[in-house]
Amino acid sequence: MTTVSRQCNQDRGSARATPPAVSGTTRRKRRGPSLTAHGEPMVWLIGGGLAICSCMILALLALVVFNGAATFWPRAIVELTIADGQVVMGPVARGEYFEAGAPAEADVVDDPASEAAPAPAAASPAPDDELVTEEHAEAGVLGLVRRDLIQVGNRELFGTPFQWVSRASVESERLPQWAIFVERRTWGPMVGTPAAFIIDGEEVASTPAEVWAMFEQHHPAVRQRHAQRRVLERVDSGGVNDREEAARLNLVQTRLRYGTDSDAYAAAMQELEEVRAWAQQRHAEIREQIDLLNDQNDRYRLVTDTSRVEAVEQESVAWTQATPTLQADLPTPGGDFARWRVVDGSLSIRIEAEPEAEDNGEATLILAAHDDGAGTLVQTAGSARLVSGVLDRRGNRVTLEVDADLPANLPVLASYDMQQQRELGLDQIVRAYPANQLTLTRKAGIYLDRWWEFLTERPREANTEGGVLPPIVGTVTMTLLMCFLVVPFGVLAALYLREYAKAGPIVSAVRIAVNNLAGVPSIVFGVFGLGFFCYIVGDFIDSGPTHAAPNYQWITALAALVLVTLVAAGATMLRLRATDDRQWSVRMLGYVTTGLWIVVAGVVLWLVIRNPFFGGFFPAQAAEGTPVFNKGGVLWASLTLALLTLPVVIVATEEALAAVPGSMREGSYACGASKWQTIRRIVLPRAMPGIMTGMILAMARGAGEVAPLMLVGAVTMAQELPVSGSAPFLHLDRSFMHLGFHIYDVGFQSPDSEGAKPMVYTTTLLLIGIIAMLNVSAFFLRTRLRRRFAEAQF
Amino acid sequence: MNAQITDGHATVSGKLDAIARGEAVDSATHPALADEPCVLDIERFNLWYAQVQALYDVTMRIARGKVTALIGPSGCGKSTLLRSVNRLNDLIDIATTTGQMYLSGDPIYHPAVDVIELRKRMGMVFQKSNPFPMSIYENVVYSLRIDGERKRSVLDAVCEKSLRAAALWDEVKDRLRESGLSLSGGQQQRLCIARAIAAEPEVLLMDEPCSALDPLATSKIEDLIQELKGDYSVLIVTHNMQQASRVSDYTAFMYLGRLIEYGPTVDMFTKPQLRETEDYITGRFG
Repeated sequence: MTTVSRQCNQDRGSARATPPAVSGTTRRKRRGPSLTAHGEPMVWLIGGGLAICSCMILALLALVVFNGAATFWPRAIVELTIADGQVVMGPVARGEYFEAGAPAEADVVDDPASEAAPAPAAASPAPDDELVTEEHAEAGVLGLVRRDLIQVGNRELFGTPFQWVSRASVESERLPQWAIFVERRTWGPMVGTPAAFIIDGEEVASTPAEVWAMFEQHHPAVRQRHAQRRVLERVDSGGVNDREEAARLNLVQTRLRYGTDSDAYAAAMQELEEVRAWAQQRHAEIREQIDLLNDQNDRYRLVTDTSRVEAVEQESVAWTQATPTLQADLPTPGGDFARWRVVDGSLSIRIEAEPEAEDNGEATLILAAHDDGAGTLVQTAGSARLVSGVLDRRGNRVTLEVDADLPANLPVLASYDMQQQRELGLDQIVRAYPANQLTLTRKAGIYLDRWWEFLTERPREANTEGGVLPPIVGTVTMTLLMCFLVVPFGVLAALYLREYAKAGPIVSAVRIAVNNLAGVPSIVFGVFGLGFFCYIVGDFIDSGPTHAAPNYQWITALAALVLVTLVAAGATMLRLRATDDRQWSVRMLGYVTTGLWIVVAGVVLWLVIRNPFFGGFFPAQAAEGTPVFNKGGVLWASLTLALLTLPVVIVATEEALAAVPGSMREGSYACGASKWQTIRRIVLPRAMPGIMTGMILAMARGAGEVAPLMLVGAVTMAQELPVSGSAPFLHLDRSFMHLGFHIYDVGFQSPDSEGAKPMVYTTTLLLIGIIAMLNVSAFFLRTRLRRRFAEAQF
Repeated sequence: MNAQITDGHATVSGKLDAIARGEAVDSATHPALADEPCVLDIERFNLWYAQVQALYDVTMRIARGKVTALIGPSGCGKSTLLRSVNRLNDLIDIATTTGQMYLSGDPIYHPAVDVIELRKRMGMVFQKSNPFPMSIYENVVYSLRIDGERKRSVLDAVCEKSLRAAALWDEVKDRLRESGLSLSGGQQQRLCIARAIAAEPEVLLMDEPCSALDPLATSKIEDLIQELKGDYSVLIVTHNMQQASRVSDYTAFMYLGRLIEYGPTVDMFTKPQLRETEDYITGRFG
């Protein structure tokens, strides 16, 4: 071996000196550095793994951050005219490319009418969406077609606030100068143009610019009055209600305890009467104030023109000369009147009818039929009778009986455009802006205003709009409460495990159990929380023990408890006196003491749960079927999550305790400190950064947990927050809203999932932001504390 | 190896062999020690870590108000003996002992002894400085704090006195509120000494207090030990022969858990009774 290496060295030496011919041979001998020896492939493998992981995480974060951050940015309103004459107006929510010719979508193939239809513009009837037809027509040419989702708004008029428009079918596109986007308190956003501004029933402005100026002038005051009204309703009126409810519950409680014949009942009844009278008066006062505000607000009304040409309903209708009937699925006629028009035929029917015309009712319909091709009017007036169906906004099938002179078997393409003006009280408007005239600053202002609303308001419209203040408050309250519950228990458990317990099978078993606890599916904790906290403990708190012990038995047990406690205390004193742990008798005394205390604990527990003298804290509510703690609530949710996050705290604390150098403990002992003094003064402060880390990890884990909360107190809509300005300020019994559950509810349980999408993204962004903030603060806290304990280097 | 040494040392040279064979040997204690008043009396002290015996029949008397150095090769039981004095070895479950020690006449190893009270009568300085994660001030008055002393004036007085005694006062008097860990290594060690003497201990135990320090800091600590002498009785473990000769009045040489020779430092370093001691001191073995 040594000779070989020496040989190599010689070669290497000669290689430098000799001509290339020789060096060629030597180069072969000393092979270049081996790839595996350098570990280069492994570096690539490891680096690649890291890159993939970070890419996935970053992509997820980027998706959420981008969508969440972009949601509130005001977008321009486009007006698209589609080939068949339909006009769609609204901001583009999103776009996508799709394969137009995909057979999966061609549910119209079976329809014989579609094969018969010759012209591409007329195309075949598609029951759900006419635009699909267009896309089919383009499919052969383009392959991929872009389509945009237009937020057309006006849900009460159009039914669906979103509409897909295929780019291939768009004939023209423009940005109407005076298109305004109106966010309303109900019915979602409205898209239209300002038509008039009404004060006290009089039209004071009629051109868009004037109307808009009036709106901007009056809206802030109206909005402020609305906020005042909300305060009156919530705080003042709520306070009165609370007092009334308290008096009523007091009456129920008195009845339960003393019966209806007692003096106490009469007194309570009288008190309730007084409170009721007072409440009535107070309510009247508040009502008066609210009415005043409402009256002031009702003076101002904005009229918006929301006319548009509605989706064309294609129906090949068989008309009979005798009783010409037109049968069609009306999309959404509504508003003041709707006009039907035959696009590719010769008939235009103008229907003037109340949208809520009754079933089979008589409604006067005026027909205006004209020949589209030549433009000559065939028939200007006539009458039709609504035969069946309801002309309502749901667009039921409607059969019209037309007494006009119509050609038989006329193929009809019917469309209607809705020319209507909506009058809207300014009170109903949260925010409105002319989307196509905004400067960047204005846009930024609206953007920030929307974020502010999002963070400080309550949700409206089944959580799909408005703010998320209740979920934020609920999440924060629950998480903090959980922290207060889990940290003491976790730290105590870890202290015992690490500092006091002697290593052995029991400690190992406990440790394994704790670690396993971290792996239990969170829903199991939810089930446990519901079964134990809500049903058992909650029932006990509300209405006392279900199976109370007989009085004599309980009192006997109490006496026994006193006796056992005295004995246990005596044994403990003896045990503390004994200093030599090695003696057999001392050890036995120790076991006996422990056993006695366990017995004491058991008896105390028995005494509590079988106490015949305890009737619960809220018997009245329980009797009425409106339990206080015998249901999900923020306290039970916090306790459940505390159980869930206990392992995190215990493991982190144990590690932190183990990291405290032994020299510090020895130094403390050498100073004459006892074990507890050493732990309290040296070990715990030193381990504090680690404990903090565990706490914040637990907070992050708890704040992001949803599944167990669905069972123990999180609700989709909570009228009241778990914290309030009225005593007791923290309402442990109240159900609460939670950001994670909010995401689930808005994203997957709301009727308008498309409209709720922005809320899902923003709420997710918020939740991620909160958790990231917790983690970052943990990081800084840890570095700060670490620096305090860092050893100086010299 | 040492068998063929001159007559005067013949009995002695057999000692290491005897130890190697596991036989009991007597230690050579100089008669000068008998005259000294004794603060700590160790009598036939044995210590086992589980089955392994670490100290064999150690019997020695520590002079009051003097500095006593423990020297010997690594693993000879110096630190173990030191930690046995304030019963820090109690923290090790597997350690068992026989024999007795007396602190000013009070037994140390007795079931009735309150270990905490006992430790308060001794101060200890460790090999590696271990200031607590708290301010300099709190570090110094720690032993008073755990006694429940709350009077500001008392604490202040003790703090200043201890820091002055530890020759640290001038360096830290303006930053008593800063973390004890912000000091340099030598200052930290002096802080630990201040902490150890704050409770007025009868014995100051030092476990290689200078082994992690540079020469300058070492000389400061050594000067400090010299100054503490008289007021405090110091028992110091050291690996450094020069240090032992510089700071101590008495020196004990230990080997493999046994006390080999114990006497006044001057005698030990100039005319030791045993050949082994001379060999060790001059660096011929160990």
